[in-house]
Amino acid sequence: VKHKAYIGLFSLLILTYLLLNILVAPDKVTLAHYHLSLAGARAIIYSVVFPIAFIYASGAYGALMVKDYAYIIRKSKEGRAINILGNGLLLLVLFQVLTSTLGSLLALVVRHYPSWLSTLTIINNYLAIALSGLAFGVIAYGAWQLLDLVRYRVRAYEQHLMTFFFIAISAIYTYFIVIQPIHPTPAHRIYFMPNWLVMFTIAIPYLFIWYIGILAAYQIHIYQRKVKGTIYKGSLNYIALGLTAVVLSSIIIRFLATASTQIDRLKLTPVLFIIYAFLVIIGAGNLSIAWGARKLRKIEEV
Amino acid sequence: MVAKSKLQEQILEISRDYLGPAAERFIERQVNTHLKKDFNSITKSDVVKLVDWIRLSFALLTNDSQLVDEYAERLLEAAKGNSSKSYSR
Repeated sequence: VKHKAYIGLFSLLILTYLLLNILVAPDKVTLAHYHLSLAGARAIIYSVVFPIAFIYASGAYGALMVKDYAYIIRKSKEGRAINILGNGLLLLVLFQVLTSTLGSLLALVVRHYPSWLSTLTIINNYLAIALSGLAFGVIAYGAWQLLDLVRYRVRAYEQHLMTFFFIAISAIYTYFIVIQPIHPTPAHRIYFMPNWLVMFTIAIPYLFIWYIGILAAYQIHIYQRKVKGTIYKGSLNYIALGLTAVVLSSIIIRFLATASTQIDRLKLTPVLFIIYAFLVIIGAGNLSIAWGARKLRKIEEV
Repeated sequence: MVAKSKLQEQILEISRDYLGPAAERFIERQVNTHLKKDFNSITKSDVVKLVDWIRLSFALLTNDSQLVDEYAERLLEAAKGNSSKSYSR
């Protein structure tokens, strides 16, 4: 299956992201904050943006592999569900690249027009919610369709465990929102909105999006557990694990954004450690999805 | 849709243990490509040749030679009408 349009779009977005981060001089405030030279800051930026670009490329590759596999098995029972899942993954990685590129663009624009900061931040925040909600919604629908094939009823203890896990995530997320300074400086503002509006239109939608994302990863895991076939299950497990890592990384990004005021207070080494840890998780997730889809496709090729 | 014989059902059932939902497509591909036949028309006399091809193709999907041998052995047992031996899967 040819994916020239997708590959062209991804290449364009990734290239724009790289150019925006490489060609634009680092912010003087950031240099002073971390006591960095210009060359040092550039070295750090390169060490982050190139892996991110690679991760996005691997994510796109993984999603297209899943789409390819879905096309091969399009006449089978699970073909439709896998295709929906592939669409969701494709949207997720596309939106991740898009929001990163827009974020870099926003930083550049705001440097020249500081008064636009609040408006652009609000638009960017809502755009990120809408896009990740759409992507996770499609993934959740695909996972639900897949689980429907094995007619599995979720057990009570699984439901309790999921509820407990989710209460914990909600509580931690709320903690990060609550501990923000009451009167932050403009540089430390994240949302530029009243707290109640942040709670109802950002925090709650994100929690719901994460919930359906985690549920989707869990449903794929259940499907993988219930379906027959040693080789098939092994390949599908890579996709389930990859999706879990991708969902977790999306949660981590949000946590990092919410806790950015606290992170700003840290020294450079811990900040870089957090960023690299996040890159490892999302990279492993994308590669795992690509590997699993490749293995599934191979079953259909021999 | 043509009804499958007991042998064909057994081949599919055994294959599902290793290839899950991909089993039917895998078997049909092996039969069509290598035996130049339709899966619904295979008989016991085709099974030995089919198993040889399956062994080759399946080995491309896994490095576990024991698993390959087990799969092949189960198919041959089924062709002999003997499926009493117990297997891990």
